[in-house]
Amino acid sequence: MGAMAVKTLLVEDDDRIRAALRLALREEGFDVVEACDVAEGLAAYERDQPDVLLVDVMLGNSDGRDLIRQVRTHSQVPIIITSARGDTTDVVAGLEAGADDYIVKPIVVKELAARIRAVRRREAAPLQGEPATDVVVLSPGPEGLTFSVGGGWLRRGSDEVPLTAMEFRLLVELSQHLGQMLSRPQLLERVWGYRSSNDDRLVDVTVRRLRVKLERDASQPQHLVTVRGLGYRLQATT
Amino acid sequence: MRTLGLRGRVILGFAAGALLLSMMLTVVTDVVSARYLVDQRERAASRQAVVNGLFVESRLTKDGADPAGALGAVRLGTGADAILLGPSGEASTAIGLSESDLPPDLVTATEAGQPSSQIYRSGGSPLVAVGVPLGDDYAYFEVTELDSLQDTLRTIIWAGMAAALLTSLLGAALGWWAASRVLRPINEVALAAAKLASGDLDARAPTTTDPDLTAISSSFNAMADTLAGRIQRDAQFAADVSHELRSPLTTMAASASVLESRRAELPEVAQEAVDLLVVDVSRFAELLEDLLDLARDHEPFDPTAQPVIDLADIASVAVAGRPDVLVRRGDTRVRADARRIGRVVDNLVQNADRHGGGVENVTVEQVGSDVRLAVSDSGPGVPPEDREAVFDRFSRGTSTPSRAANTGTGLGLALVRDHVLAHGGACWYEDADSGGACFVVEIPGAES
Repeated sequence: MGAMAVKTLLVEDDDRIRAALRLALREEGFDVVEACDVAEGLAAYERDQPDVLLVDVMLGNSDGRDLIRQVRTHSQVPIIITSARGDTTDVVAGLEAGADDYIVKPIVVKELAARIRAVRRREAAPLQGEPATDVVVLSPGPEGLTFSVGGGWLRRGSDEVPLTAMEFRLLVELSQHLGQMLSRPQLLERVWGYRSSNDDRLVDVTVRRLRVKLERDASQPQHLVTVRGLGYRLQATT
Repeated sequence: MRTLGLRGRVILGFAAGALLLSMMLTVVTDVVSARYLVDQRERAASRQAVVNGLFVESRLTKDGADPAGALGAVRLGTGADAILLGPSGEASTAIGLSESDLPPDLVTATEAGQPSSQIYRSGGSPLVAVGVPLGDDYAYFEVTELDSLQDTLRTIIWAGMAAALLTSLLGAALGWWAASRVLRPINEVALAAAKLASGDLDARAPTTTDPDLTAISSSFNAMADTLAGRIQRDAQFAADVSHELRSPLTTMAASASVLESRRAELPEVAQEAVDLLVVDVSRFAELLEDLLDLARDHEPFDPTAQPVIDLADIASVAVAGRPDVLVRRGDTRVRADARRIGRVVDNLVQNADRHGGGVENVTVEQVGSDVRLAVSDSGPGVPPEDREAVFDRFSRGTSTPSRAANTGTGLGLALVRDHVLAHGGACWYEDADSGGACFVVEIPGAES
């Protein structure tokens, strides 16, 4: 494993599930840190600086979404929620709290490993180096929105808008097809790496979160627009 | 013969009642007015005859006129004839009559000194004869035709019959209205029952203040409440059980995957055991998902409130990695829940892969106002006797499950049917051109 192993913080209140997932994730080559509630999870996050968080939304008496919200106040670290319920409200609430992806129990470890690798892919892309030559201007002016795939940033004026891994990757896909529509299945495959999923919630919630960061009025999007019944399109304004 | 409905019977009853009543009324009116009119005419004729008789008598006795002269001076009304019979042996004098035309009883009574009248028929027409005894054994008779009276009576009968017809029509209309009034609350209950049966567990009969109707609507609503409560409890129970099973199953699946990755280090017997464990843990997981899906099926679902999605896109996801098997034609957009329709395509593709030797062709096309999805395989097909049963829960056909392979949960096609029906569509089996099985799903297009 060594120093290169991906460090995963596993926040799960069920001791037996936690133990089994720890064993299985270590077999897959991950470094695993454990916590059983929100307080312990936050402490472990500060102490161990994990690369990925794996958070159960229902942590006994505490709510995994609180942990996600607190981490999101200062970090864009990839977060995957685990849930014993695949119901829309549960998953959507977890995603709206700021999670990048979700997986429903019973967890297939190979699938979980694939999800962890998928949400971390941005980290592997070069962030530093040569000045960005691929700047996309979404809106002009001193307070305009600019975006650089190579640079790895979204800026409003000169301020960087913090994006999570999946928000960034969604923006990358859409900006590479600026003005063109991408369907939800296309986005699911290209951004999240799902080859066989029809779960629109992931796309829809991430689009909503991205709009809040991107648009002046998220209820009347100018840049990230819905193509009814088909998908989404990113467009620049003049 | 088709039996008449409640509405029909009420209408018929009202019409028949009205007809009977009005007929009775007509008959009574007719009898009463006939008797009254005849009576009137008879009395008028008698009065006239008495007046005329007295006139004849005075001509005979005071003026000494001969019978013919006396009778000739009488002014008769229209349709009236007269005859003057003299004392026996003396010839009678008549105007338009002979003695034999008179009813013998009347003649006898009059000659006995008793003024009398009688109604009788002669030559088919009704007549009234009045006899007035005069002095010197003379007797004066007057016979008046009642034909004009007959016309009046006929008119009354016709009018009565027309009124009867009109009344029975009115009765039928009244019956229709009354039946509608009675049936409306029943129809409302029936409507609520139909909605309930189609899965709308919130459907209730409208409450009413009518004491005669509260029984039916309130007992229907009580039944619906009980039913909805039971269905929701059952679904909730199934969902809760499935959720509770997910936690231990996660532990099992994760542990099994550790064992699987260390398979090579295990003795041969343990390897075989691990293989069995791994396959059945994943089958268990699938079964759990399917059971949850079935439990969700009891939740109210309105296909027209679903977003517009492209069925061909959904299908392309299900056959990702094998894009050449997918054929798409026309506008394949539908109003559907992506997750549920995704499960439909997934299950059909999985079914073809597991039981039909692999998917051969997935066609998504516009057929009229519907969108058709057809998944065909290259397997042996389904024998005719099993074609309905394959859509039943836990049906696995006649193929023998192998020990190593995952043969599925037996719920796949049942879920396909549930999801498709929920979307207002239909699904069935056909023989594929290649000889394999072809499962067809049709759901209404987005524009229909």
